[in-house]
Amino acid sequence: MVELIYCLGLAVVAAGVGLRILRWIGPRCHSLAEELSFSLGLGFGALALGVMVLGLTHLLYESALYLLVLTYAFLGRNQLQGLVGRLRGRVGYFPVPVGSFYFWVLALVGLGILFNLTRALTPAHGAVDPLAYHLALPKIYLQKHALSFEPTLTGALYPSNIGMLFTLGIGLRGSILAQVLHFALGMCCLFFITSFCRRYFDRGVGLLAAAIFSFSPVLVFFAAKAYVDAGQCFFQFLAFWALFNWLEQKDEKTLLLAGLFTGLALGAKHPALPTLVLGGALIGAAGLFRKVDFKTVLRQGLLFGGAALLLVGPWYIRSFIEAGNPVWPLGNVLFDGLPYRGTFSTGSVSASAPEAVVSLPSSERVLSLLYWCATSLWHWSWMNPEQIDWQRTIGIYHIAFLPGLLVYARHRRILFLAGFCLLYYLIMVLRVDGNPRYSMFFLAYLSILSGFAAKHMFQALRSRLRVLVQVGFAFTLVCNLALSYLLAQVAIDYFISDQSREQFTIQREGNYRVFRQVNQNLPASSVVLLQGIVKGFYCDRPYLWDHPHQMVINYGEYDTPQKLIKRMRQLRISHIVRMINIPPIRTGIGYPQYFADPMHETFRKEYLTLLYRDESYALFEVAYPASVPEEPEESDGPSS
Amino acid sequence: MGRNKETPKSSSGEAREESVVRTLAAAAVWLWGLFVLGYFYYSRNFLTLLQQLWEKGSG
Repeated sequence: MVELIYCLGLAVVAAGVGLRILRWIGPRCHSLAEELSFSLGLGFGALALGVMVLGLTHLLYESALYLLVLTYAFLGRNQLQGLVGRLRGRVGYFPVPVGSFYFWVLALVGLGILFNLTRALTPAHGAVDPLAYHLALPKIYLQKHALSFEPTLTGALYPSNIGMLFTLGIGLRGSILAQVLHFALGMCCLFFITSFCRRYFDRGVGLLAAAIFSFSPVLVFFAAKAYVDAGQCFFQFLAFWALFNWLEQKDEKTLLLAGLFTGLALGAKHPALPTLVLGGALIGAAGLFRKVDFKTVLRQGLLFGGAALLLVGPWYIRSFIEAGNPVWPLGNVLFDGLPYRGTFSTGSVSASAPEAVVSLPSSERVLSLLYWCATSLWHWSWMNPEQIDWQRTIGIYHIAFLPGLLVYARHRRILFLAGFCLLYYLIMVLRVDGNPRYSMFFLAYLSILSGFAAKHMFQALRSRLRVLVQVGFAFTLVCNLALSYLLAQVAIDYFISDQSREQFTIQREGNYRVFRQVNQNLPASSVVLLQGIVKGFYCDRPYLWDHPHQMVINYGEYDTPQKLIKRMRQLRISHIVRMINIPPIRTGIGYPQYFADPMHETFRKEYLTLLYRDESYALFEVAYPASVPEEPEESDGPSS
Repeated sequence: MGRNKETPKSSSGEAREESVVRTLAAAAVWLWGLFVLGYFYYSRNFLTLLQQLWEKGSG
């Protein structure tokens, strides 16, 4: 629970320093809510970049993190005082009348947030990506006090603004604070939605849109875990909001703000790239539409793109220096970077309909593209309990309410937003892996459209029928609340029990016990090879993955026990933690079934000594024979 | 004069026609929305999902 206080403190610091930066940039803000939204965005961005600078300068120490936060608090103190003064006048102000329909909607949303928050407050467990790299890399950075390069870990050189916030969270308090920070970024988006709607539509639309977005299964599921998608949504939503403001206000300070948020979004995750492309296209289209001279459009484009690239640049440069590819391992063919075997799909059709992917244009491909463009929103709306795919589950409200726009969208702003969402939807289906998780901000804007349609549909009804329909809508929110509750059941049980964090983690995270053995019994100089495992977060010793995509220790190349032991010696591997039974999904991507693999079995009998085992994992010590001499340290092994 | 008399008659007819079309469109949209929400929340899938999560949590 202390994590909540830390998170609140960091949000206050972010708001203060962000407001200072906002005033320095000087865009016109429509309301206090808008000012606060942009300040939070700039503040959290500044915190992330501050931690990045500490990491690049090898200063990632707990004391340096505290100093960074204190410095920001000092820099933003005057702005904070002013902000508190302005907010004081609103104490006791509640945006909707108590007992009204919107009051109950807000109450249900609040309860949903509370359930989801309990999940964020449990020790990190379960989900793969956070324990494999989103939290694992920040922990390694803190151990090494620098942004080190871990060539065997997926995402080792991805832009990592949210990872920097996680580093701050882990450094100050631990992984729960990192989770709470990610959750807070997601919940900030609800505030952004209401503030955006207050400016462009009205409060009712904002509240309905926030309710719809808050119960989007993809947000509910991922925001409470230490993924980075809600953080990407946070910056991307602000980037497009600032761009829309620029289209109305036409001041270049707002365009600069949009560029900065675009840079922060790009620095959160690669799939934010369309923000830059679409932003540039909007600037070009606005120039054409307004008949602005080419030089001005070029200057605006450079201002926007330059600001974005300035903020994301350090991540690309770091990646280029380490691996010879600014976006390693993506586009490795193009940049000839450090070898990496993994392939990444960049089109939804490849993810959803592999049969449609052919190298040459064909009528089948075109038909398939058209099919997925026309039906993806429909497919993402339903939940299949047999095989639930949370990242492609966006909730039911969009397909239920969006047709209402055909009747109620009569004004320029809503038509523009609808057109923008349609354009982004096509980009998302065709280019962003067809994965709504990678474009959560789009769902936030789509929720605004759905909220707009819903509000006007409610308004169009006579009073008694309206009450009936509103009760029906509230009932669907209760159903969604049930989903949030059931997802949070484990967390709620944990909070009402007297279980310790360690007991909870042992119960819920399969590899925790073996890593506890590693942490308690192996010398600090040990280097551990994880076989069949990627969730290395709980391992405190330096470690490598043997993931089939990495090329550092590749069993295809080191295919005899002799070659493998030599390679392990080069990498100074002293121990192995092995998953005993590799599930088919992993053998399918190339992991060996170690205990059934002749080469690995021969290797085990010759060179490995069992130190520990439980029902799922085994810990071995590597016994090097005298015939394999110690070799000089290699740069691609983990440094202790 | 005849023309003057005809014009308001025809525009009021158009307005009535448009109003009927909009009402029908709104009704169609409402029915669609109710159908989709109803189908989703009362269909077996959502309830099965809730049941599965409940059993998982209880277990």
